[in-house]
Amino acid sequence: MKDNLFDKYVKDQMDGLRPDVGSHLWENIAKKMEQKKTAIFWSLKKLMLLLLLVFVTVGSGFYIFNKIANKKNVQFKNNDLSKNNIVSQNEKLNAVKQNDLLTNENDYKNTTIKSSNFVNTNAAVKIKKNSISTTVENNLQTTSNNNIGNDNKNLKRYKKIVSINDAAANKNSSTKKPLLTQSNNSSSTAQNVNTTTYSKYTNENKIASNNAIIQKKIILSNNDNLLEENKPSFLKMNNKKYYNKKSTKNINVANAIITARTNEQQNVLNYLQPFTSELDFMKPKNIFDIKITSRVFPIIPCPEIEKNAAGNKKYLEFYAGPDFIIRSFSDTGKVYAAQRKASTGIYFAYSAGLRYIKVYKSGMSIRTGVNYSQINERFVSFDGYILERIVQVNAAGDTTANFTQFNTQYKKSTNIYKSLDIPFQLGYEMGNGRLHTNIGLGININIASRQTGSVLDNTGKPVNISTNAASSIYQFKTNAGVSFLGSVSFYYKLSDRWHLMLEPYVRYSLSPYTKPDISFKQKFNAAGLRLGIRRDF
Amino acid sequence: MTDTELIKGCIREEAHCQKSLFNRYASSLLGVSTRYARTREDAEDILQDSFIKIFNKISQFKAEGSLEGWMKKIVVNTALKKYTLSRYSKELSVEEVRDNNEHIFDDAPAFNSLTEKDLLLLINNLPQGYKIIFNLYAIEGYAHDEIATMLNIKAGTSRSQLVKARNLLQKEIMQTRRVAV
Repeated sequence: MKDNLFDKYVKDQMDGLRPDVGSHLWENIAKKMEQKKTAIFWSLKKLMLLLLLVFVTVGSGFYIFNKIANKKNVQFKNNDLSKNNIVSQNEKLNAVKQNDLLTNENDYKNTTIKSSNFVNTNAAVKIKKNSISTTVENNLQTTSNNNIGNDNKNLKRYKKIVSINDAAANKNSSTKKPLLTQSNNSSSTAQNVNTTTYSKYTNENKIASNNAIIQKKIILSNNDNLLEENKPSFLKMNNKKYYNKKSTKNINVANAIITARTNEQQNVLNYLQPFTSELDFMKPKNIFDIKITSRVFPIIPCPEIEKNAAGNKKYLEFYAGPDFIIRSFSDTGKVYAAQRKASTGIYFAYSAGLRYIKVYKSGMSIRTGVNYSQINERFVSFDGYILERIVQVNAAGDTTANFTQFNTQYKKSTNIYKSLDIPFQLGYEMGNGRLHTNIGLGININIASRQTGSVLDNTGKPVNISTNAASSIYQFKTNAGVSFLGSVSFYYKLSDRWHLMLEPYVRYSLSPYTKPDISFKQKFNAAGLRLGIRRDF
Repeated sequence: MTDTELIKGCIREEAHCQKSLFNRYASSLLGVSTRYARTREDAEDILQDSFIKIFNKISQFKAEGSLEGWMKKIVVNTALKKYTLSRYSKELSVEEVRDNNEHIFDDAPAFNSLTEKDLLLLINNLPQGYKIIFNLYAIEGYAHDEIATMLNIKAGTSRSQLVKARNLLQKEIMQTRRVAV
């Protein structure tokens, strides 16, 4: 029979081959299809979760960034405004120095303390009876002819208040003796003298508003030396001396003053203090209660020394650490996958690398570098039974005994999987002082992968997987592709330049490590802890 | 239900259409997988995997050829993937043998005494490398160039293996006949 006829004969025979199909086959297929649908669902769910995680991370980062940026903007604005105000204030203070009399209508205008009582001289000024420390010596004079009637009423009320305060002051004269005497100003129609912490010095202020003028007149005491000694700092123009210690009883104002740290600010605050500290209704609970425009209360931000992690910083870091490898095996048949899994086991894995980090002002960071990872795996394979027959013979050559021995042969080796990757990570760095944290997400791009060792083939025999050995379908890829990378890095600042790093991280491989020619798929995912050091340069 | 209707139903992932398609072609396709597999269980595994692929990729089927032919190709590819190619490559001899249409025996009636199952058994007894090439060439109808591409071997190797496989199978048939006689 010719070959082609023989082939045709076999083909015809085989085409007619219709083996019986068991009912379990369809059940298995239906089950697998269902599993696949579920797997797709879970894959989508995982993807959604991943996207959600990315969204939350980015969102949180953006929120924090905005918060910090807004805070900085406010500070910078205040700073800018304060520069102008300080100049104007200094000019005014110089004028005060020269004339020893401050007439500044605008100062009151700028002092937008939300109290109509203060800016309106017609309103009653409420002063606590027993609060010696919160009284102030003021001379109120109304110069408006139109308001003489009202002013007279006010003067009467004011005198009453003064007499109460005087009585209180006398009562406390053992601790605070008023040094001031009353005197009439040619233009004044009323006086109000109160004992005060500021009573040791005198000052004459003439403050005019649109409708009324508040004139503050402090009568000189007979002790000129003492007066000079206790002259407020803004009058002395001595920046080092901020304010009279005794005047710090007004804690709330002092708290506000703490925020202003420049000498100029202190002068301005000092100047305002006599007007603000003695009036209950003006007592601020905190700096924000005094709604004063930045022209009057300039807030200059403190110099920041490593206040935030963010900033235009560049780091170079080296790290190394152990990895926990999570392997996944899959195949069309479960048997082979189970054999592969059973024949190998991870016993040690680690990674090390060198990275460059750039942290921007916003706190966002980029990281890239080189990462080397190695997985060491133990391989043990059962190589079958070896039959050994031992024949025992005596001196004559007769067989006296016959033994059959079964031996089991194992092949043991160490499989080593080496990978060189380039990580790309976007992150957000936060923290201040000594502790920083960087949350990063990104990808790991494999440059090269090399393997040595053995695995089982589908017949159960060991086959060499070494990269440079003769080509085998069981060998692994020489490029493992891309994997996801997520990490949280904690930094402890050892010095200005050096930071200690502790970084838990996870790596999830997107593609299997095995070649696509075979149905068997193996993946290496990792979770690890890296210890490292980084240098600010 | 026609094949076209079944295909449309399978694209819509309707379970009853999928089951109908399976019932219609499972036996024939199991015959194909049996020729490549070593055991019955392996053949069923191949069939299962093949059907899953068929259901997943049926939307890619172009009605240029028969549905059964397309499905058979999937079964063959699945079987080849299952029984890894490298092993076959190792088993295949690089020695070139001339395909000389040698008449080993002319006793045609000897073949008539063989049943399908007997012939299948003999084919399955061939070395794996021979069996694959003989199946691909003689039964599936692939050319040597195509086989060479599929198995990542030289076309000449495929030819030589086919000759050896054919000779071996014919000898086996002869022996079976003699024993039977």
